[in-house]
Parts: sequence; structure tokens; C-alpha cells
Amino acid sequence: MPQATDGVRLFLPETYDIVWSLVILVVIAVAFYKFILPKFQSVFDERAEKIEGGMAKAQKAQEDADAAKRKYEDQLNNARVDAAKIRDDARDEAGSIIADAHKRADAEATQITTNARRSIASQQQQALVSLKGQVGTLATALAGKILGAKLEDGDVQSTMIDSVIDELEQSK
Amino acid sequence: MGLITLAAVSGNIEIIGVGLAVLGPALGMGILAGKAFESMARQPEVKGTIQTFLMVALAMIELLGLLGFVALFIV
Amino acid sequence: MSQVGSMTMLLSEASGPSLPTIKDFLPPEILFQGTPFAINRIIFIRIVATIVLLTVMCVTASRVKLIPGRWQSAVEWVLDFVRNGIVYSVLGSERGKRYVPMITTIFMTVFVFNLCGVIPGANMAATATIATPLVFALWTWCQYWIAAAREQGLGHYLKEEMFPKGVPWPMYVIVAPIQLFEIAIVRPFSLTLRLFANMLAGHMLVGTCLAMGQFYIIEMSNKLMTLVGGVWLIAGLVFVCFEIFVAALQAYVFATLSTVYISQSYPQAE
Repeated sequence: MPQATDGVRLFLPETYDIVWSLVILVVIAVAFYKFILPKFQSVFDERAEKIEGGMAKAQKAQEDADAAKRKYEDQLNNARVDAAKIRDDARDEAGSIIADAHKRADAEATQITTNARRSIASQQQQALVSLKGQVGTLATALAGKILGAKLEDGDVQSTMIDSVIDELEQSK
Repeated sequence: MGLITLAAVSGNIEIIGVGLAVLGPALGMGILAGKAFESMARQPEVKGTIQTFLMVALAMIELLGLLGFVALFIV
Repeated sequence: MSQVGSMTMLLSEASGPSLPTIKDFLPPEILFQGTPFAINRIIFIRIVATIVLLTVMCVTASRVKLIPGRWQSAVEWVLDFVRNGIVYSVLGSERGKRYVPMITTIFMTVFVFNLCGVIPGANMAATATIATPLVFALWTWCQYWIAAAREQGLGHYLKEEMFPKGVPWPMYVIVAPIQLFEIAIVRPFSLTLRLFANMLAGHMLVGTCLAMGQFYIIEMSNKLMTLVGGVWLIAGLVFVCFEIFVAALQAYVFATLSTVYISQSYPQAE
């Protein structure tokens, strides 16, 4: 049965077959382990790095932009607060200025009134004094004319005038 | 001619034997694959694990069929 | 099948179709006969395939650019598929990193060697002798035993595998030897046989269809038989496409199973 042994021979490896299989396997394995796969791996890594680097860069730019935006917003808020403060201050100041002006005007008005009153009083006094003099003289002259020479004595004259004026003052 | 006819008949019987030997593993593989697909459809999240065990089980079942095929040549 | 082989030998003398036989897988030595470095047809195909694979990959690798061209994208897609689709999905990226080169080597080599089965002129998968799948399987075997010894110690690994939890103890009498047999012999044996038998069957299938097609279309004088030959030829073409699919599938299965076996050497998460 030579054919039967042929069938078995299919499953019994020849020495040279194993030798060549091993040689080829080792050659291919060495080539893949040492050259081909590291080469591809380096490119894969480089590509991944590129993509990750790009993404990191984009993220950094985004963060920068966010930070700048935040800064600007902060500045804007500060400016707004400052402006409000300045406005408030100005309003306060204006109010105080107006109040001051009011006060000063009031004071001046009072002063003017007082002065006016005082000058009126003094003028009145003056007028009164001059009136007193004139009225005395006038009345004396009048009375002299009426009475004739009866009132030629100076002492009587002045005493009379003074009593008349006192009456006048009391009646006033 | 009579000898050839005899040889042809005996050869065919061997092939039938291989067919019979393949029948069992074929049924087994069919059931296995069906069940595996069913469980994958029910729980797609464990697909990877199922595939792994599917492969191991297929390998063991296939070995039975291969034994019949090898026996064809050896015996 | 051996008898079928002898039968076809007889028939071919009677101008029958030249059907493929298992002799295709046991070609005569053509170089260095009788030495451990003898080369036969399949080994020659294997060497040529290796040279082509390494040349293409090395040229691609040395011209590798940051922005990939069309061809580089294709190669990168395959590498990415092996790394993410096979290794990382089973082992996770932490543990898997160490095994990516190994699984990539196995996947690419097995795939290219399998494809030789449908390349005109070669018409024989370079993995179609038992030695090549055997060597790959033994590499996997070594890797998962080494991984077991490194990650959890051989004693612990054997205990975990031979005495799985949740099995009533009398069953261990049966389960333990089966499990030991499984991890020591069945795994590499099944990896080897699966690949080899698939290539064997594929070659037989395609060869038979094409040989029958040629026989019925060209060698038979009966013109009606040309129709039958046409059916055979179409079937042959379909099976060629199927073989391309099988070449990729077997490479995927081999790589996945290697990864799974290695992952089972790691201590269980539970």
C-alpha cells in the first residue's frame, strides 16, 4: 500500500521542510520585529503626536482667548464701576456745591437784610435827631411868634423844648 | 475493469464517511454561531468577550471535523 | 482518497481528467537532494513568497510617510486591523502591546502564503505542507506557556486550567487529563491541522473543478459535454474566489486563536 504511506507522509513533516519553515519564519519575524513594525510604529506615534500637539495648541489658544476675554470683561466692569463711582462723586459734589451756594446766599441775604435794617434804623435815628433839632427850632420860632417876647429867656426855652420832645417820644 | 469499479466504490464510501464526520461539527457550529449571534444581539456590550469564546469553541468543534478529514488520508 | 488517487492515475492513462492528488503536496526535491536543506516545489514557492512579502513590506516601511499614500493606507489599514481588531480587542492594549509584532507577523505571513494557492503559476499555498503551520503553532505554543510562566507561574496556571472552578470534584478525574491534553497538545495540533487541511481541501477543490472543466471542454470530442465543462469551469472560478476568502479567514482565525490562547495564560480577572 504505497498510497497509504503517502497519506501518512502528508502529516509527517520532512526535516528539510521544517528547516525551511523555521528559516523563513525567523527571517520574516526578524524583519517585522526589527524593521517594518518599528518604522510604521514611529509614523503612527508621530502622527498621534502631531494630532495631539495640534489639539493641545488649539486648546491653549482657546484658553488664551478665554483669559484675554475675561481680562477685558474685568476691565470693562472696573471701568463701569469707576464711572458709576465718579458720577456719584460728581453728583455728591454738585449737591454740596449747591448746598454751599445756598448757605452762602442765605448768609449773604441775612447779612444784607441785617445791614439794611441797621442802616434804616440809623437813618431813622438820624432823621429823628435832625427832626428833633428842626422841630425844636421851628416850634420855638413858632411859639415865639405866637407868644411874642415872652420866651426870650434861653433857659426856659430849652427846658420847654426838651419837655415837648420827651412827650413826643413817649407818645411815639 | 472489475477491479477499477471496486476501487471506485470503496473510494466513494470513504468520502461518505467524511461527509458523516463533518455532519456533527456542522450542527455544533450552527448551534454555536446562532447562539453567539443571539447573545450578541441581546447584549452588544459584551460582544468582544462573546467573540473570543466563540472562536475558542469553534476551534474545538472544528478539530472534530478535521479529525475525520485527516483520517481520510491516514487510514 | 488514496484509492481515488490510484484510480485517477489509472484513469489518466485512459485519457481521463488529470485530477489533483495528494502527490501534489509531496513534490520531489529539486535542489540539494538528500540534505536538510533540500528544496522542493512548495518550499520554492514559500521562499519566493517570503522574498516578495519582505520586499514589499520593507519598501513600504522605508518609504513610510506621515501623510499616507494609497498603498501605505492599505498596509496601515491591515496593520491597524491586526493590532486593534485582533490583539487589543482580545488582550487589551496594556497586555497586547508585547504581542502585536508576533501576531502581525503570523497574520501577514499566513495570509500571503495562503494566497499563493490561487496565484497562477504557483497554484499551491505555501502553507500547504504540515511543517509551516506546525512551526507557527509551535511559536504560539511557546508564547503562551512563557506568558503563563511569567504572569502567574506554571504551577498556578496548570492548577487553574486543569481544575476549573465550579466543577464538582469527582469530575476532576476526567476533566484534569482532558484539560492538560488540550493545553499541551490539542491547541498547537488543531492550529496546524486547521490551516493545513483548509489549504489541502482548497487545492483539491479548485484543482478538481478546473481539471474537469478542461477535460470536458477541450479533451472530450462530444460538443454537448462542453456545457458540463462550462459548469465545472464556473464552479472553479467561484471556488477560486472562495479560496481568496478562505486565505484571509484562515489567517484571521490563526491570529485570533493565537491571541486567545495567550490571553488565557494570563490570570483570570474574576
